[in-house]
Order: sequence, then C-alpha cells, then structure tokens
Amino acid sequence: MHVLRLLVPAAIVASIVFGGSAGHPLQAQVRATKVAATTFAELRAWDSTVDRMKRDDVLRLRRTIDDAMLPGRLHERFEQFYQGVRVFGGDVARQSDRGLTVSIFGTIYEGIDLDAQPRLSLDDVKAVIERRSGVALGPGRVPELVILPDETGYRLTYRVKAFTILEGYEYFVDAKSGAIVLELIGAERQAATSTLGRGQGVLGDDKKVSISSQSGTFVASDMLRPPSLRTYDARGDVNKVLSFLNGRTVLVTSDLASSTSTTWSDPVAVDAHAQVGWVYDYYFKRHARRGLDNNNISIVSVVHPVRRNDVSTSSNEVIGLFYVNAFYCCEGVMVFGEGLPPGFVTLPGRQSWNFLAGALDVIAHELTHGVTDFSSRLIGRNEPGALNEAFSDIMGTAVEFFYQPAGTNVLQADYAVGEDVVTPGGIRNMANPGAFGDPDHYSRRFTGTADNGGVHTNSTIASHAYYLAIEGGTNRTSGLSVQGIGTANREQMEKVFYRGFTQLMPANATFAVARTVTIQAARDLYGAGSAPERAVTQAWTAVGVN
Amino acid sequence: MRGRFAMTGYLALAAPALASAQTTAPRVYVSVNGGIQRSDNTVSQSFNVQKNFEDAPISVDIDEKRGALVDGGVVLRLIGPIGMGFDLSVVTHDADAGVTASVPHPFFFRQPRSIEGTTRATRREVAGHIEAVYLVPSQRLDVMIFGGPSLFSIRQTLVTDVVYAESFPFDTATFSSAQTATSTSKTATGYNVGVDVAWKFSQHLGVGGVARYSRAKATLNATNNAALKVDAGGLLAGGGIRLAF
Repeated sequence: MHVLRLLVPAAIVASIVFGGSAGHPLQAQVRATKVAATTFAELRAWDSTVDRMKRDDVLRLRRTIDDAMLPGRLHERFEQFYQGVRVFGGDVARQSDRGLTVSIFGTIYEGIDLDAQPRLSLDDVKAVIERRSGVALGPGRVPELVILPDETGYRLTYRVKAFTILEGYEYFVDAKSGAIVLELIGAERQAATSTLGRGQGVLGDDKKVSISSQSGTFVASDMLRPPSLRTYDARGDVNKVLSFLNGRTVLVTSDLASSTSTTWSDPVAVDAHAQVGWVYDYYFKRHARRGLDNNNISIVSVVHPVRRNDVSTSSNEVIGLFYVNAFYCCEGVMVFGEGLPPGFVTLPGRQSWNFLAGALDVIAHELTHGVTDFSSRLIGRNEPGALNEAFSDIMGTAVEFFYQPAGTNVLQADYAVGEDVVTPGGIRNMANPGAFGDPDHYSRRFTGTADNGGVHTNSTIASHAYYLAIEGGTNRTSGLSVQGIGTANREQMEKVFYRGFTQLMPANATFAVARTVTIQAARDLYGAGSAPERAVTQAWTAVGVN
Repeated sequence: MRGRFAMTGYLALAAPALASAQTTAPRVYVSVNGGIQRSDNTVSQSFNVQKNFEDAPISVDIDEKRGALVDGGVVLRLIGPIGMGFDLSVVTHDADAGVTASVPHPFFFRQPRSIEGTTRATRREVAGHIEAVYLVPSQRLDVMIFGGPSLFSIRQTLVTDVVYAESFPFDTATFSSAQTATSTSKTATGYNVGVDVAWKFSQHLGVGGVARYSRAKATLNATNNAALKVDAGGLLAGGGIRLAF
C-alpha cells in the first residue's frame, strides 16, 4: 500500500503576504464600523445614513432582489466606493418590508484618504501577476481596481485571480507600486478534502443525466434546466485546465464530457453532471433561487483535471489541488479532483479518496461558494472566511438531506462532510467537530494565519451551531443544551441560514454578525419567539458566539 | 361514454307481410333500420411505454355504452312460418377515452408524475347475423322471432402513447393528448337473438321495429402486438322500412 505523506490541510494552507515596503505612506489605521441594526432606533439612524451615503456616491446599489420567501420584502445590497473605486469588503445589506426597513447589516470603512488614481495599467498588473505566478493571463481575466483595507491601512490595489499548477490564487497588487500586498488562496474549495443518458455514478448508483446530442455524439450539456450546465472532461490535461481557469483559453464543445450512446460509462462525468443539476434544483425548489447568481448564470464543471495514475509523480501541491480536492474557481466554474488510486491513502487517518464528484455534499459545498460569491461575498479569510466555508458545509448537508434518506451509510444523509468519497469519515463533522480536531466552540477557534486564518477549521463553530439548532443536544465544550427544532422541521433551519447568509449577511461578517443575521432571519420567516428563533439563538450561545 | 343517438330515419322493416286478402304469406321480407345499440362493453388498455429510461404505465378506459346503428336484412320464408335470414349491421361508437399515465421524472429514477386526460376513440362494429326465423303473421302486424350465429369485425381506436407538457423543475406534468392507432380485429364468432315487429300499411310496404341482442369476443392487436380481448355486440334497437314480396 502506498502512503502519501500528505498533510491535509497543511498542504493547501493559505499564504497571506502583506507588503509593507512599497515605498508609499500607508493610511491611518483602518476603522471599520460594523452595522447590525434591527431595533427601531438603530434602523432609523442607519436608514438615513445609508440613504445619505447613497446620495454621496459612497454606497452604490449592486442589486435589488425581491424576497422569494416573504412577499413584499425587498433586499438591497450596496457596495462601498471611494472616489469611484470599490472598497473591498465594504458593503451594506438592507431589508425592507413594503418600504419599511426591517434590518441593516454591513461593514463601512471610515477615514479613507488616498489618491484613487492608479499608476499601473492593466497590462502592468498582468505582467506583475505573470512574473509572480508564472502563468499568462488572457483577456478574460481583467484586474479589478479596489481599495483594500488591511492591518496597516488602506491601499489602492488591483485584485485578480490566477491559477498555477500548484494552486489558485487571489492577488492584490498595489496600484501605485506594483507590489503584491496580499496573496490569498484564490479558489474557494473543499479543503484538504480531499469530490442523463443514464449511467452509474462513482458509488455504483444509477443516475439520469440531462445531456445533449450533437452530431451523433452525446455531450454533457444540460438543456433542460434554465441555466446552461456543462461538464467538461479535461482528460488529465492539467495545463489546459490552468489555461482555462486563467482565461487564456476557452473550453469548446469537443472538450465536453461525451458518450457515443445514451448509456454513459464514465461515473465521474455522470456524478458531476447529474449532481450539479440536483444542487441547482435544490436551490430552486427550497429557496426559489435561480442558480448561483439568482439569474441563472452558466455552471461549468471540469472533471479529470489530472490523470489518477500520475499521482506518484505529482507534487504534494498538485495532489492537494487536483487530486484530493474540489474547488469553486469563479464565475460558475468548478473543478472536481481525481481522488487517489486504490491503495493510496492520506495521513493522518489513512483515508482513501474516491473521485470527489461522487459526493453530493461536496458538489453542493462548492456550488454554494458560488452562491456566496454572488450574494454576501463573504471574504475568504479569518471569520468571514470561516463563515463562508460553514455556509457551504451547511448547504452541502442540506442538499444531502433533501435527496437522500438519513443514515450513516453511503448515499445516506448525515452531518459528515465528504464521507461518501473520503473514507473513513469524510473531512469534517458538523455533529462532532472534535472528531477531526476542529473547534465546536468559539473559545477553541484557531487564531493562526494558516488556512487563510483557519477558514476550514473554524467553520465548524458555525456549522455545529446549525447542527444543534436542528438536532438539539449539548455542546461538549460549553455544556449548554439546545432544544432543536427537530428533523421534521429541518427545512425551517435551512431557510433561516440561507436567508441570513445570502440576504442579510455583509461581506466582512464575524461570527457575532452571523448570529445576529440568522436570528433576524428566523424572526423574519417565523416570527419573534418562534421555535426556529429560539433554537438558533440557543445554538449560537452554546457554541460561544454571543 | 356517451354515444350519439343517430336516428338515420326509419327505413325498414322486417318481415311479416301479409295482406288480409292474401291467402299466402310473402316469401321475401326486406328491412332497413336505423337506431342505437347499447352495451356494457368497455375497452380497457393497460400497458407500458419507455420514457426517460423507465417504464411509464398507461391505462385507458373506453366505455362503448351507446352507438349509432345502420342495419339491413333479408328473410326468406322457407316452410310455413319458418325462414332463414341474413342481416348486416354497422354500429359506430364515438366516445371519450379516459387516459391515465405515470410518467417518469427526467432527472430522477422512481419519481413518477401522474397525468390524466381524455381522447376521442371511435369504434366501428360490423356484424353479419345469420338467422333462423319464426314468423307470426297477422293482417296488419307481422312478428318475427329470430336467432343464430353472428360474425363480428371491429375497428377500434386504441391509445398507443401519451403526449404531455412539462417544464422545469419537472415535478409535475400535464396531459396534452394521446397518440392513437386503429386496430382491426380478426373475425369473431358470436350469436344473436331478437324480434322484429312490422306494421303494414299496404301489401308491400310498412314500417317496423327491431330489437336484437348479440354477443361476441373479439381480439384486437394493441400496443406491442399485445392481444386485447374486447366484447362486441349489445342490445340493438332500431326502426325503419319493411318491404315484403
């Protein structure tokens, strides 16, 4: 048996690089005002503030969405701008009921005083990224000028994503000096995780896939659902995948996963294509959401980014990104890792990794990153990053329970994450986070910089709260008990978290804000004093988030 | 099913011809009738078609309760009151067929959607009746009692598939129409019994009414060449012209 000395998630930890030597005076310390207005007095004050900031072009309306759950409710999402440049992480989500404001959540950055004219051209920025990453960015990758608040002040930067063979990165390049001031793992992904016609899936189950027929060949392009859902087979050509992810090349019809008959033989393509559709359906049926952006953006899945049998000659980084991983890149694009050949395991835990497209919760997790990307835009590090990951795990589990019977066997729904393809046990456990050394209480949170500030590790604080709010029980650390709403009412808590995380949550939310928005969502949907409100309140308290 | 009463005009008549002045009864009696046929006949189809990689069971019920009749016959008196006759009747039914189906979901196995609706189904039943006839003549009123074997041929509209409307998320579907085909049975043998009453207003011409009960089992070719046994015949009532020679 081959044993890969791969420490997951250590192999994919984020590197956060703060550049302080760009030769430009830094702004005064960042002052961020967290807005969580739900009382009459708070709302009156913040309502007028938001309107004034809108008139002053400090806040710009990004989108307005009619509430799919509560008729008459409207959600406005504003982004903060300074001299026409977006302030990264500065945003406000305002909920109103027939013109009357119900809640306002957000983060406003104050004291910004800088020259908002960049010295670098877009080509200059691309050149910087290419030198840094070794990959050439195509015309599809346009850097975005943003003001980045960080520990040292405000910076005028370009934000751009790039993928190397080792990793997906999100770069922030100083728009004056060209220094890279922040470098994040750019792909929101299943960490360390290890991922019609008809055909059998990875686990041997029969599935239907919605496909298309083109010139006598059947291709994985779903024409039945409102958006375009396409599954491409990279056939192990990792360079092509990288080129696509970086916008240098486009995938064409001949790249689509295909079959010469309506009976498909590739279980990975079957599972990826079918289950992406199922997740789209879940969001539509349960939350009246039309896809990732609520406007039916295309969803692209890429399978077989590498060849399984090449694992022995691949670096740990490649294994971490393209074998034992799945990730949401951006703009509706996902890549599903190849897993490991039989006989290969990862340490610790000696876990086997099947094709990651075989796990419904993994697919739902990644697509939910897309939902977040088009709604709250939770920043991918520290507490907002952990909330981002938590929401993906929560929705991943919710999708499992929507389609599968409850149980602990394969193709059954439970609170383990990725358990159908990462055996034994999966990669996280929302019912018992400690099983993987993850915190079940805020006091046990990871405070280091690895993993973009512990975004995957700390996600279990919030996802465990979700578990308690449904199932009830006692938190192992605090000893506090929660009266859950019960499994028969699971849908209520799914809606509470969905509403809180997609409609009320600001981009730079903390766990405390997550508590407030989910309680507000429970009140919105089920009323003050309702069982869901009580359960979610108790659950957050039990996990130490007050 | 609700058949149409199609009274095509009472032509006809059967039988007894006699004029009080005559000393012998006529030899040949001709009748032409219009009327209705009532029955308890139903056609029930139950079959599967393949849709979305699964069986889609389809059930069809057609009540052939009433049909329009055109009928004509001739009776040859042989000896005394005993004669032989031949009668050809054509009965046409036009009815609503009730169709129910369970249509598999396009995305999921074992998640069928129920649909139901109706479609028009026609049936034409052609029967040849060979009859032994007993005549009871009188001056104005002739009565014939008859019975014998019948040969039936049936042309029947059968449902072969369903057409339905659906849209995302495809959890429900709506019946649009049914695809149909016409099946013709092989000749089926049965029987008939009946009575014909004629009122003569001249030596050769009169009016009359007939009631006949006939029955047979016919076999139609249904979907997938499956044999479909159906009842034919029923209680026929008609009236029309009677000629006697």
